[in-house]
Amino acid sequence: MTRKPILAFEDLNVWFGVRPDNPGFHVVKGVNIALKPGERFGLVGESGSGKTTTIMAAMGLLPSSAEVSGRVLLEGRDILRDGEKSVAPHRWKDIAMVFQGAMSAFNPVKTVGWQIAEALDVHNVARGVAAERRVGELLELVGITAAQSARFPHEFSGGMRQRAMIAMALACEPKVLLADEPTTALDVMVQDQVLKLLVRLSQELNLALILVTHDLAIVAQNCHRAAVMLGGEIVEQGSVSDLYHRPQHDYTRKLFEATPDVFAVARKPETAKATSAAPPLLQVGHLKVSYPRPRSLREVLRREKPQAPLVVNDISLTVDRGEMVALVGQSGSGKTTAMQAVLGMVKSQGGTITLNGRDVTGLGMREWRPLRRQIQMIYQDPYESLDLRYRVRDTVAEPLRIHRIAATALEREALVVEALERVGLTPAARYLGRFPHELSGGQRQRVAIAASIVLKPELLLADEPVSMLDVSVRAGVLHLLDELRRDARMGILMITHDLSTAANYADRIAVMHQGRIVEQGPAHQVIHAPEADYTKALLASIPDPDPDPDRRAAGDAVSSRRQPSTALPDHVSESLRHKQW
Amino acid sequence: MRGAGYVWKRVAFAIATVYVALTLNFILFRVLPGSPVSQISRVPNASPEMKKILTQQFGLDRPLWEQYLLYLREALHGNFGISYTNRQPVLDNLVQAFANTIPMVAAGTILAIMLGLTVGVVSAVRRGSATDHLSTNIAVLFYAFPTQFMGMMLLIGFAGVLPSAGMSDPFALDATAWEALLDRLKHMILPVTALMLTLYAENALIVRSAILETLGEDHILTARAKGVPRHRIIRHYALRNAMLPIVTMVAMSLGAIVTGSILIEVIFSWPGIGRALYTAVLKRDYPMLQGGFLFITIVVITFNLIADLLYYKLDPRITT
Repeated sequence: MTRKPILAFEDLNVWFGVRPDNPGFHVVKGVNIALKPGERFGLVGESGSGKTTTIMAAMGLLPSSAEVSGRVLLEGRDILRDGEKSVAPHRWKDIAMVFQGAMSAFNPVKTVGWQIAEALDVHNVARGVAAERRVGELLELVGITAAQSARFPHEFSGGMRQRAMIAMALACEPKVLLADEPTTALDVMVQDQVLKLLVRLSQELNLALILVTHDLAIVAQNCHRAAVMLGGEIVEQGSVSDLYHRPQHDYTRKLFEATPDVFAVARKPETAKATSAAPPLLQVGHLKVSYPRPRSLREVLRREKPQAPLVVNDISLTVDRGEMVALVGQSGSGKTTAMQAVLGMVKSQGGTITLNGRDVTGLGMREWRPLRRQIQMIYQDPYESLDLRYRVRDTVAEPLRIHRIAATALEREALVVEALERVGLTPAARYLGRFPHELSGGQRQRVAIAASIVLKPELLLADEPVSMLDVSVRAGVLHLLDELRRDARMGILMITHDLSTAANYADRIAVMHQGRIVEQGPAHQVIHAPEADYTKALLASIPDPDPDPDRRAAGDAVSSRRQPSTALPDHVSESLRHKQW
Repeated sequence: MRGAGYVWKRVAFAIATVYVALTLNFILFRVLPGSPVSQISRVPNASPEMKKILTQQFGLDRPLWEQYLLYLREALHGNFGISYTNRQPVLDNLVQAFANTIPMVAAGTILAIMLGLTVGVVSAVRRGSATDHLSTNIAVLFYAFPTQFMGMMLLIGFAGVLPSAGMSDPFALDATAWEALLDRLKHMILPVTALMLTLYAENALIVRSAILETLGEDHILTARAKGVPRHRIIRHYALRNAMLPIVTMVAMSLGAIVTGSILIEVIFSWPGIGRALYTAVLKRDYPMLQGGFLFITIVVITFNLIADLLYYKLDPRITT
């Protein structure tokens, strides 16, 4: 390609909080990227790697505490040279942006149409009737009818909002579009639509696109080239195919290995079944749950019961000892409600829940309490599930205290240390006295897991245990769950929206859609021979980390990259091998 | 129309609250020990017959529910009884006093809101600057001053220059309408200033923190990226969204102002509702008190209703 770059970062550096007495934080270190017209470029990295800061610098939107050096060239002209004065004319007219928070990126008190028209207005593109017509065109371009421009952001679904955001970004016909995690908060099928829209628009309008994301598979499927960022530096840059097949940097390789690949799932050796005499650990039969809604006046007068839709509609599943079952579904599919019903936190309207052969359906809080020892939760967000004022020791010891286990403080401490070491926080003494803010995200989730397994429960319920964690940390936590399943023979019911994660770690998968389980079976079977249309649609929308999946279809089932690398800890590679063959 | 049900629900709720207040007002004076008859008949030679006649006269011999219905009927017709002190119908007294209070309180409140909004917006936008520190600290200082202290200080400082008591010059008998108006305005200056200074501080602090919060939201960043000019961002994004909490808090404080004006009205001898209640308490004028409490309750409920309706107008997300 000989075309001149439309947007180029040349030796871009950003520091935060520089003062005469303080060197500050060097968050972007010598970034060089050159983007050609119509090119789609992926900027990949984990939280804190400086990827968002990099593109914010190109928009001149960094906070005033930031100090920038280097150049950002738009068609050869440095737009950072004179600060605000030189960036302002290019904002939205030449470089537009799509933000991560589709939920909050729109002003909630103005209509979507008003906000798009405002972009046209402030840049003197169009006003009045002309603006109205243009807003209609833009919305139609992203698949929203023009009539819906009078609606407010909260009346749009997440995917619609993100598409409207894209329409707004295209308002002034920019040459470059910066997309900051545009699909992170969206369900996988909606994510697929939004990404396809971005690719289509970039092709039709010859729009250069920088896609900032933590998800390698998204980049592999939608971009030509990509750069991997780590600690503010670009560690590797190249075509997506090169990055995937011939990664030069260890970190790139590690990232790809941590990205679960739903299509590489192979048949697993059957886990040894528990002796047939024992009843299954958890058995849910024909469970129905609905949330009560206040009765309308008519219902009160006629003494009718309110008709609430069933959130969980007749689901049945079992979890055995030493087995991991994944309940997969999109947001709103009822999977979290189902889990809460299993825990006795919400009332069920029908069906049975049997724990270790004992019927626990409809038990009161008092009767539940001794049972809680057998069944524990792991929550999604380790930043919220830990009490910020509790030290690690207190968090992990609390369940022991509640259930009056361990007679002495010494004994309790021993159990806490054992649990911490079990989850890989070794030596435990280093972590006992820490507060949550002194831990990383992965460590926090490990502490949360330690607090759950300190009671040695038989059943673990994990609600999206890794969705808030960085990609490279996810694998570690999932391996830990896998170990608990194999070594401690715990039964694990994992809720996830991510079919790839489920496929790579669970023995069996139950796919949930609109309150029903549409398909259930061994992981490899659900992935490779899906029966329900919904499962097929779900599988089709998952991006493949391999940029050229056709090659694999031609017989190259396990690509060379998938070989366990020596860079990984032993137990990780061992269980990878366990997964693959 | 979007959620017409919401408006009706709010209005119905307000009416129900007024009804409950009316009923409580009735019950309160029935459960208090003693009866009006025993008070009045405590004269030399009061016979049981006289007691009986009095009881009949007051209608206290009828069953409680009938008394209650009578009370409701009379209240709905605006009859709250006769004041003990000046023998005028309570309603007339209250309306008169309220009419005197409204211009003074309204002026003070509106000025306080305007000043509070300006100061709050300026400090929020220039967060961390010397202007912000100065105005925030001054606001905290005024917020800490009790009303009576502020009133006294103003009296001490300006008593000779500006009229300090009452709401008109009692000796200006043949004043033209224009002169009377000027005179009234002059008398309003001190109480209005006192009210404004005590109220603006709270508003300024609320506005400042509400705007700082909205300035941190994602849609502000979208607007900046969109190239929306700064003043427009502040008006259509920051202030517009900050209005939601501001309206709630200001409206809630408005209800309290009517009662809060007691101090101001007593200090500046303003013949308004606050002073009327104050004298009623001193003179044990029960009908006045009963009517006054009801009046204030209704004012508070009305302001809350207005806040709810405004909130509905400002926030498109409200539907139920």
